[in-house]
Amino acid sequence: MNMFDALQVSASGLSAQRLRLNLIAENIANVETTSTANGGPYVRQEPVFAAMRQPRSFQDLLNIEQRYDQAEVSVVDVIEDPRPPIIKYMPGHPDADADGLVRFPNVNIFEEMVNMISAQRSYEANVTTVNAIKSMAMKALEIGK
Amino acid sequence: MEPKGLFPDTLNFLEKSLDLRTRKQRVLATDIANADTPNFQSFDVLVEEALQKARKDGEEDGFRLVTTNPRHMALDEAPFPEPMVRVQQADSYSLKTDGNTVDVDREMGKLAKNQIMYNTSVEIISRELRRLKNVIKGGK
Repeated sequence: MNMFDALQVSASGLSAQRLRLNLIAENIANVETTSTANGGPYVRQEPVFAAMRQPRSFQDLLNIEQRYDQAEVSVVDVIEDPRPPIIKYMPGHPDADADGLVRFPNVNIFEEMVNMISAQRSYEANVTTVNAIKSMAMKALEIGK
Repeated sequence: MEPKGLFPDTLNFLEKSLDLRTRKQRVLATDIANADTPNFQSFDVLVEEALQKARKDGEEDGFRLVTTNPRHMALDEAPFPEPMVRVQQADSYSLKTDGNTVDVDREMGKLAKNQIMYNTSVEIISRELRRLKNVIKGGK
């Protein structure tokens, strides 16, 4: 049990939030992408977070009771949003079907913006935690000076 | 409690408080890192309660080994109680719908408080050691 374990936990939070921000950027960038390599429009991506207790030692592994009070956050999966694509009538569009309908990505730009602010705030909270832990570790070095 | 040896009991007590504060900081870091994890339960470490209990046990000699024979070995210090880690209940006005019970603002407050308390303990240890050093050097 030391400060560096705590730093590790915060770092996992930073990395998870950064991945979330990357996916939001991807979603916003592809808000009008009507054709992809897989065919069909771009589908909104979303990360799935889970709390994972990382075993730090053999003793940790032996502890039958899994404790989540020191769990790191990890991205277990990136899922595609199951909502249907937005359909618009655009007969001149190269991706239009026989009826002149074009399937646009199921990305809602407002939802992405709100998500972005939330991810940014969470990231900042983790940065503050890292700084707090760092300053505590530095303060401990002053003992005996 | 009368002091045994060179170092006062306060030092031992403060060292333990540093341990507990470090542990609390880690749990707070976990809560903040998992602020967006569905179904994650917020935790809290009751540092003050553990310290109070330790002080009470120390006064009452609660956990100390009793020696009934001069050849018995005495344990120097009472075992320190483990801090209680408690699952924090969600606020009734929480609007989260994903089963997560972390309140980031409250956690940030606890984080700041814990940091200050840790720094205070370090400061007192430093001063205590400086005091001893001063006595050893005869105030020179």
